Amino acid sequence: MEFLREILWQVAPIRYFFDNLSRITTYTQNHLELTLVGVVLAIILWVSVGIIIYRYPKLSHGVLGIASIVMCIPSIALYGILLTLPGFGLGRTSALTALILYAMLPIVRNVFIALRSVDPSILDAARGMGMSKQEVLWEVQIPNAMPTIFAGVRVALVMMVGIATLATYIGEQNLGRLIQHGITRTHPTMIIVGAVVVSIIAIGIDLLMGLLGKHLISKGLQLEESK
Amino acid sequence: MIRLEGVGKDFGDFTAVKELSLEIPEGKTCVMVGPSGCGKTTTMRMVNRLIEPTRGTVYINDEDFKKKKVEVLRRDIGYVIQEVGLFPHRTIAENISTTPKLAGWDDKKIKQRVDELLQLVELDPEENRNKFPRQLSGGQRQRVGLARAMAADPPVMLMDEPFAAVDPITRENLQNMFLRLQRKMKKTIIFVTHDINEAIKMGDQIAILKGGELVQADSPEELLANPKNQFVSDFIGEDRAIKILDLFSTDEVMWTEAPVLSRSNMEEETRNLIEKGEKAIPVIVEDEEGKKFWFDLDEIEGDVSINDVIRPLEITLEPTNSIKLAMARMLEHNNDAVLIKGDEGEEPGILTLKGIRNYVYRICESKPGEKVGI
Ligand SMILES: Nc1ncnc2c1ncn2[C@@H]1O[C@H](COP(=O)(O)OP(=O)(O)O)[C@@H](O)[C@H]1O
Ligand SMILES: [Mg+2]
Repeated sequence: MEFLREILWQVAPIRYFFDNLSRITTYTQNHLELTLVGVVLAIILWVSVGIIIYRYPKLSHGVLGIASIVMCIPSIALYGILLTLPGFGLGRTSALTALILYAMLPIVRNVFIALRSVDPSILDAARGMGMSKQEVLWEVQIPNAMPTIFAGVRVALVMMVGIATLATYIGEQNLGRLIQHGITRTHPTMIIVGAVVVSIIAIGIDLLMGLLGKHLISKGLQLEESK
Repeated sequence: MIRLEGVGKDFGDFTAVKELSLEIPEGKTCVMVGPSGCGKTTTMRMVNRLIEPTRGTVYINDEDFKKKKVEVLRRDIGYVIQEVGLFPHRTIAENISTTPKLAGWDDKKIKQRVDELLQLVELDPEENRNKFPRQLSGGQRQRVGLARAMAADPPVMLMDEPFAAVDPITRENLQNMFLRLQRKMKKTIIFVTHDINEAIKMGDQIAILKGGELVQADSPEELLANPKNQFVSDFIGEDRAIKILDLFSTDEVMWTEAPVLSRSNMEEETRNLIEKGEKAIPVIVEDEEGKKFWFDLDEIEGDVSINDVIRPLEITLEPTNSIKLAMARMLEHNNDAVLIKGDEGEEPGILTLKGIRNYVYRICESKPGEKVGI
């Protein structure tokens, strides 16, 4: 045991990790907090927008266009732009706003596509049985669109974990800090530790989302279609 | 009762349904049939306002269908479509509970109703209630679709090509099951199909549509006997006489008062019959062992003796069998008559090839509205 510890201690990133455990824990907490608050707000906002452009398809072109453009802005530039806007500045508001904007395309697009691709005969039957528009949307359409909507949220969330790293430049005390400082101090170990922890979180969240999906998506939709 | 009064629909400049008036009596099935694109689906969907009519109105049990809120109207109209449209995210039980839930039934009553309906459509409740639609075959899904449509016991049902997407054997099973159900339920039904055979089988009334217009609405018998014009006869097909065979049961065409003679003194009894002035009736002969034979009194002429014309009566059928089945049996056995079992305590009947021939001929030649007896 002692021997194994000796060997591991020789590996610089591991030693760095344990030497700075409390700082890294704080960074991780901040990182997760930002991402999770970001994703919750993004879901509330973008799922609604997705439903709206489904109801008013005339808007869909414009909205999805904007979402694609936002996606193309380099994240560092987006943080920079937000920084200069009145009311934003350095800190959480700007960081959250940027994350939410990046989640726009995957969530809005998936909601829109998912709602559109629900089998029309299912909706016809629902309406024919006397369900109101709202009942059809919430009880039939959204549950059936869930696999695709969920896939969009999953992509957005994993992406947000990565993009949150850059929020360190506008004052977030998160894992990005390790990378940022590693670069300015030419300290590869710091960079490696930062990158690895961020990746592990991203992978972990992705796995967690996979499990969550199994519960949130109806079992009936996870079955193979019989011939 | 459903009454369509001058109902029509335009899609932009295109008129899908012109001005259609039709009345479906309480408890009857009206089958709308016609070539693809003639406006069957559009007409049907106007009844539950999935399509708003451009003109005209619909009365359901003498009430203008616009008087009710559209959702309430639809809850009282069972709706079955070819694609079934079961909710894949819900179990079979949950699917069937849709309208009872909308109507606010309590859970216990809903549960009972689900099991009752599954039995009605001949699916085992235990085995199927917690399955999901994707775990069922096409035929089973349509059974569930039917159960779901009937869940809140609506007096009226709309069915758009409900059995068109399944294989022929399943289709026949579903049709037969549905006929059994309808005999009990007596719902007022509009049933859409493009298949004239299905229409003849399912309908109390058949409405033939063409280019958004009603061409003829009549009972299947009347329709086959008196197609109104060339379009209808073409649609029915060249074999209308064969289709008629499907419509009648043996007891409607059989001879119930045929004399039964004993083999040992059939000569003498036959002479008595002829002396009494009987002609052209089938005569049954029974020997000591109970074996049955027959001949037609017409055939005894000049020096023709009974032994020259008498032939075995080998086939026995039920009074509910179609005369088509009787024909098929006769052809298979090279016979020209079948014995029809009598109901409890009643004399058996005899159905002859000649009798069928005469009957079908007279139907084909009858005037519109004329009743043809045997
Ligand atoms: N929503 C619509 N817009 C335009 N045309 C339609 C629409 N629905 C149906 N039609 C047209 O109306 C005609 C009748 O359609 P339909 O009632 O579906 O026919 P059927 O069920 O007899 O095959 C067809 O020519 C079809 O193309
Ligand atoms: Mg149709």
